[in-house]
Amino acid sequence: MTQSDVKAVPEAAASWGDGAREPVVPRVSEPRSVLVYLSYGWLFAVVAVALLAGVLPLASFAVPVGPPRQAPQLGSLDLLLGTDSQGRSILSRCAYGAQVSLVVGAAAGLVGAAIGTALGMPAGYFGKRADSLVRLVADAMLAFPPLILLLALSSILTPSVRTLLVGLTLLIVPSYIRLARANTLAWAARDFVLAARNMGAGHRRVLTREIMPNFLPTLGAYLPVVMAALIVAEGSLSFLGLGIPPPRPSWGGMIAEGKDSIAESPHMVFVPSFVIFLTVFALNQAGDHLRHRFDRTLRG
Amino acid sequence: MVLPVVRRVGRSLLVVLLVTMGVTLLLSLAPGSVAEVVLGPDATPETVGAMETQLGLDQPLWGQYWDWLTAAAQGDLGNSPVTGQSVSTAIVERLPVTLQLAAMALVLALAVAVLLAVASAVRPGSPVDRLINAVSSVFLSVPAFIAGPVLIYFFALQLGWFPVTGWSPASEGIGANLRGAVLPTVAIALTEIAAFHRLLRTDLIGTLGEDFVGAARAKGVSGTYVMFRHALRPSSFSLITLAGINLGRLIGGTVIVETLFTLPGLGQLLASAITSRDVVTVQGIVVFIAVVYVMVNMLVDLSYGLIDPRVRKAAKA
Repeated sequence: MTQSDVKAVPEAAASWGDGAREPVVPRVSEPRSVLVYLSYGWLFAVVAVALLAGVLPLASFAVPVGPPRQAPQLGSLDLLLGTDSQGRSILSRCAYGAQVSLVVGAAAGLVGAAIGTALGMPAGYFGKRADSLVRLVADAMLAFPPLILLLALSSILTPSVRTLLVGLTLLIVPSYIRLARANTLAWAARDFVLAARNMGAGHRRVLTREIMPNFLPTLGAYLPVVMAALIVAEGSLSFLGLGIPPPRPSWGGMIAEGKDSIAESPHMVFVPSFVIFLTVFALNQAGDHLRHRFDRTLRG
Repeated sequence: MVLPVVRRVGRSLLVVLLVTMGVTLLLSLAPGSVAEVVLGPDATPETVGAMETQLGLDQPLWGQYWDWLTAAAQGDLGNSPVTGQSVSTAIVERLPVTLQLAAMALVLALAVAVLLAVASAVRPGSPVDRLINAVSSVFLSVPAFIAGPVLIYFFALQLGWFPVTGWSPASEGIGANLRGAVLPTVAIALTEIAAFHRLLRTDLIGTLGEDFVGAARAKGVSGTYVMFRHALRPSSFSLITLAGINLGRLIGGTVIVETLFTLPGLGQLLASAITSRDVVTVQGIVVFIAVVYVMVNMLVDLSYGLIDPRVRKAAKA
């Protein structure tokens, strides 16, 4: 970890005192379970399929490819995971649904993390009034249970990918305000920050060049878990029919569509459910893995 | 002891005030006025104008907010322009179902999580611990909208143990009421079981490494007694905090399961209010839920003094 940081941020590294460096004991390489590698593999596959959905030999997500409610069968790629109530290929709809879930999860996660960090850092660094104001805003935003906030938004705005992005970003901001604030507090008290201040560095420089590089890996390690939560939130909203409007397929919408005929053709619910489950599971595993590597507070 | 409590309560009230302002502001963001949203695209300008006067929308935003707030403080959240019913009455009517679901899910999640965490923490890294961890990771990745349909398929349709949908009030027999509540409760409890188990397991392992546990063991106190009487209580603080915070996710989950199982609760009311664009009802429910959520978390914070003597002493000093 130290190696890559030195390359990335020479200033910060140069100002680290000897005492701040981690003890020079080679890290005991923990045997990582196969699950973590499988998880990264699945995530890679989902991203690849989402990116290449247009190029892959898949039927369109909007056109029937066979009789409705076909159970999964071998032979044809389009019928591999069966068809839905209108005879459309579930494989193709899962692939195009991945685009929505990933875009929504990644974009809202990144933007929310950026806004939250931008607000939380000065709060932790300057303290006093700025701090209590930002914390109050964060508390008020956290006072809305996640899904309830999204539902309130969707009651007044027409469902679209943009509405969804705004709502999901709002969900992430307060958590990242708190994370960034706590991390800034911890790093701002260190000697190298004082040294930089004494050498005449301005607040902006101290924040962006001295403090931020140190906690970015920690904050970044939370992104997979945040993305998992966002994918679940998007799925919940689409399940209630308030997320992505049809005809664009979304995983949650597919479950909602299939649930009425679950008795006769359970695959219509089970296939998208399993896809969401695997993706959320893989993101959680990746998040645990990254957090153990980069979050100092978790190291025993 | 008094000052921190006053400060905490004051802060919560401030948050509640901000929340109500936020909701009012949010609803004013609606393209067009709320009256247009409620009446739909076919409304004539006259009917829209009439409704705007009726809802007080012709006043400036601050005036609207003040009128709403003074009425809300007296328990009047306005009348639904769609059904004409008082929103407060509608909330009170629907609340018992949601309350029962949330309470049952929370109790189930805590009970199962405590047992699993204790079994895990007895010997960290053992096959039992690894098995429980695996199960817990799986549970963590099963949101209510997946768990619900899958549970319905196996336990209601295939096995026929529970009804697929519907709700019978507790007044018409506890048995039928509980039978209808089992699947929805399990559906929203799964994620929480996993979250609680993870946290409590870590805290328990930490506590079990402390000197006073070693001392108790050296005295010859049995393992079970040490676990439940010495270790569990000091390990449960962050669990209680998390339970308060995750209540939000639980409430979101009740919206999903109430829609899925057609249970007459607050979540279903909210979902149907959104579909019929009944903004007044949405506003009332959202504010109600947010206020309850803030208050619960405030009580959780204040309860530390009751559970932990160290907090009491620190507050006195």
